[in-house]
Amino acid sequence: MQKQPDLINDKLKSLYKSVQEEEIPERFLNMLEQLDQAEQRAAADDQDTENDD
Amino acid sequence: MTTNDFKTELLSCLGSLRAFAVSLCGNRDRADDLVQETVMKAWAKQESFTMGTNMKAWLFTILRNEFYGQMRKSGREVSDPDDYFTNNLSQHPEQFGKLDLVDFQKALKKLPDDQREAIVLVGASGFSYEEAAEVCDCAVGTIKSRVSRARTALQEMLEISGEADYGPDAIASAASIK
Repeated sequence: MQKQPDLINDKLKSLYKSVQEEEIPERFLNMLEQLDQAEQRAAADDQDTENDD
Repeated sequence: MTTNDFKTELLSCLGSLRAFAVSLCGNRDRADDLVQETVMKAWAKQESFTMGTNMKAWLFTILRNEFYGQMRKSGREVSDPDDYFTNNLSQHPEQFGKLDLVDFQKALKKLPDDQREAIVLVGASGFSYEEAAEVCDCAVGTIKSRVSRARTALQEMLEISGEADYGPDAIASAASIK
């Protein structure tokens, strides 16, 4: 007879995956995009400041 | 490491980070707020992350600290009993095959927070005992014993037979949880 399947782990994984495999909500993608842009703007501003001096 | 690499790797961890957040706080909306806070913090201190090391563990640690920090401040109960893992589980029974996942979810919710966290990290997030210990800032042996007690408790609650390879202490502690 085969080894008894690990029910606890199987169920735990199913539950976890039900969230993990959902599409990433738009809010996070937008947020990362904004963080990225803010950083680029900041870098550009630094550049401007240097040029002004 | 470029910002782009960091962003790409962070994105690849988001699904798992959300699942961990839900398992910690038991509420989907709050979990996403927690993830948002974590992403902001991680972004702000990305200089302190060494590319090539375990970003998932790094993010999980930030999220966990954020969660327990909020708990301490607010004095709130850790778990929200009304709304656990997936509140839309019943809408997609075919997706999960078995409705008894709902029972499992209820049992998981009854575990003490430290045990639930340990079994989720090791059993579902794919962390080794060592990595889980790092995330939870405790000894490897502590994680092992929490996972073991969590399994025994879940087996008791779900009346799963077999796998009787746990000592009397584990069974006793499981009984007290019930």
